[in-house]
Amino acid sequence: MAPVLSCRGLVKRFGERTAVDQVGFEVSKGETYGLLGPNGAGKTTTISMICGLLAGDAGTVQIDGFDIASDPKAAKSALGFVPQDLALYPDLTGAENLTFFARLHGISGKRLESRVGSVLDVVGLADRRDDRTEDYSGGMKRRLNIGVGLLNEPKLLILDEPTVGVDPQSRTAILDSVEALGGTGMAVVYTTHYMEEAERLCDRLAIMDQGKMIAEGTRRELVEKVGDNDRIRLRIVGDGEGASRLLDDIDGVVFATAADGMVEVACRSAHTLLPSVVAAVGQAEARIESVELIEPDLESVFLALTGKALRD
Amino acid sequence: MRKIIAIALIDLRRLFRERVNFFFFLALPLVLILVLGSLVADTKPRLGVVGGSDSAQGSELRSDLLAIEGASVEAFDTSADLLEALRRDELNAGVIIPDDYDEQIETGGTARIEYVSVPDTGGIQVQGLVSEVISARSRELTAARFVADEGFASLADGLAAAERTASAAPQTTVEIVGPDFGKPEAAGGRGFLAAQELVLFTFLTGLTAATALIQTRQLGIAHRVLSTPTSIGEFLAGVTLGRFLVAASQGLFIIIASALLFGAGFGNWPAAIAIVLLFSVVGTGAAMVMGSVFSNDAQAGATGVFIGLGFAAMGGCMVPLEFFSPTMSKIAHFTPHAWANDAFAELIQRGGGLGDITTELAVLALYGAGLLAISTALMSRVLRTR
Repeated sequence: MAPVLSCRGLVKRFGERTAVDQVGFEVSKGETYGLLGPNGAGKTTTISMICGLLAGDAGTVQIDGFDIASDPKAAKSALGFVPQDLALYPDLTGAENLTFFARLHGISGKRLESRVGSVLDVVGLADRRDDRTEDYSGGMKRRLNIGVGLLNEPKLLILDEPTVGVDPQSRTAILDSVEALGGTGMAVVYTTHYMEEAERLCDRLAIMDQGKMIAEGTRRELVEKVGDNDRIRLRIVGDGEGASRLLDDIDGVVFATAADGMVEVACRSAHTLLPSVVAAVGQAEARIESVELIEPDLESVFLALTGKALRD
Repeated sequence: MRKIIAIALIDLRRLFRERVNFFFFLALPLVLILVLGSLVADTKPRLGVVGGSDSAQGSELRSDLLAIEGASVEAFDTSADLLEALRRDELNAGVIIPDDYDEQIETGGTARIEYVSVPDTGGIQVQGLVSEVISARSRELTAARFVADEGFASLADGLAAAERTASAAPQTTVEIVGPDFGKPEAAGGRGFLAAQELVLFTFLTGLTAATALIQTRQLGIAHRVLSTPTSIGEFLAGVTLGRFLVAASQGLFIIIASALLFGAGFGNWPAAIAIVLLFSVVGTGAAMVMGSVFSNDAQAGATGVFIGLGFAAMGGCMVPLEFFSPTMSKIAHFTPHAWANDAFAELIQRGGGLGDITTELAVLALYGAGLLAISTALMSRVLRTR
């Protein structure tokens, strides 16, 4: 199946500085793709080029098969864009904002009313439709901001750091909404510098730093790429030393150590090996009191690839 | 086209959503016209006349001047008294008939009549009325001189014949007032004041609209619009149309409301509307240029007011261009305001029509087209690179 979004060799220079350097990826229908990187990594510049807002120095972007440079109207018809800024008129109501942007998508008549009502329902603002957006809470504005991106029922939805400056409750609501959108078959590109959001939402992701894509893949592929291991931490009662010797012999275990009633097992896949680990501890005549699975996260991947923390 | 209209109308919707804008946009210009108009239009300008009482021709002229209906005319005994009254602001203007007036006329020379005035609108109004009387007198004298020189009669007889002929012939006096409006002083006063206010406010409103344009960029709305199937051209056309509608509707409101409410006359209506529309294009272009150049709305707002009022003062919206020195007048005509005021003066004070203001309209059109071209290039660059 042809990807909904295909971008290749994107380059953008601002004077001497190369903000985006040979960035390319594809996103398929129903897939949520993350662009993860610290502030200034080039995520928003990449998004601006994909949306046709910024002319690149090199590279191509195709949305739903249409080239953004040669056929921008067709490409943008398939695109929903949720910018980092709250791009709303504060002195207009929620419904008026949606109506305005819907008209720019060429939506009119009964479909206009229907789409505005439907989007207000989706973002949970139907009861506040006639209130000015300047009277909305921060979370409500963010939700309306996302709603504008859904007006044209896009095949590709691009969200640029949609949870910046949002309270935890609204953040959860936004993440739930984005998760649900992926389930509707929409292709979603999600940029963030929050590792937890990328881990939760994205089927695949690219890690960006200093304008370059330094790694791409599923979360597991990325973790494996840097060679970090899962860990199984056991609190046991009984022969910990014996248990660790038995655990060392299991295929897939990198090493096992025991100390102070705790046994720590480093392995490739904790979920797969857990039954064997539990069985080995039983053989060592020890009793398990608690089990903790510790997976390496994207933070550790980013650290391994760049030598700095994601939020540096 | 629907997208362009949608973008344009959103500006009007936002403008009139704030009630305070009704005051600044609609009420304030009318209040100023009312206040300033009441100062000049409800009281007749005051004229003083001195001299001419001791001679035949001088007495004739003096009588004609004292009979001017559009002004309160008072006779003075000496030039010193007249000048003192002017200095005390008791008069707008004065006419001094020289002692050798009759002698100059009898010998075929040029009689110099001194006209003195204070620099205000009343002074301008009286100048028009005095000029009319003296021109009529001059025509009669010229005709009488012709008759006398050709040997048909003495100058006195010729003059009597000329006066008889003039009173029997159709009058050819210059009309100051437009075709539909009442007293000349009212039309010249409030009509021209309204025109000056119109020029000032239309441009000022246009410039302050630049802040809305900058906010559209600051809020990220411009980029969001361009992420929809809307081209930069459509966006700019919509924004330009919106600013134009704001400026033009204010201009049209001022001329219609001041005509209906205060009886202000603008002379030829199609020509007046043409000036309003072209000057609105100029205001729109200026707003678009400012909206492109500035990235801070507060900075643009303050600069807009400064430029708007500065150009208005320089272009004759506060002090009529007639009071400018020739050099200042040339400088004033670097502003579009001066051309618009010239055009309105032609319609209101001299009863001109569309054909009489083609130069002024062409200059305004050039200003508008130039500013729009510059702003389009600047804004396209800003939107593509930021």
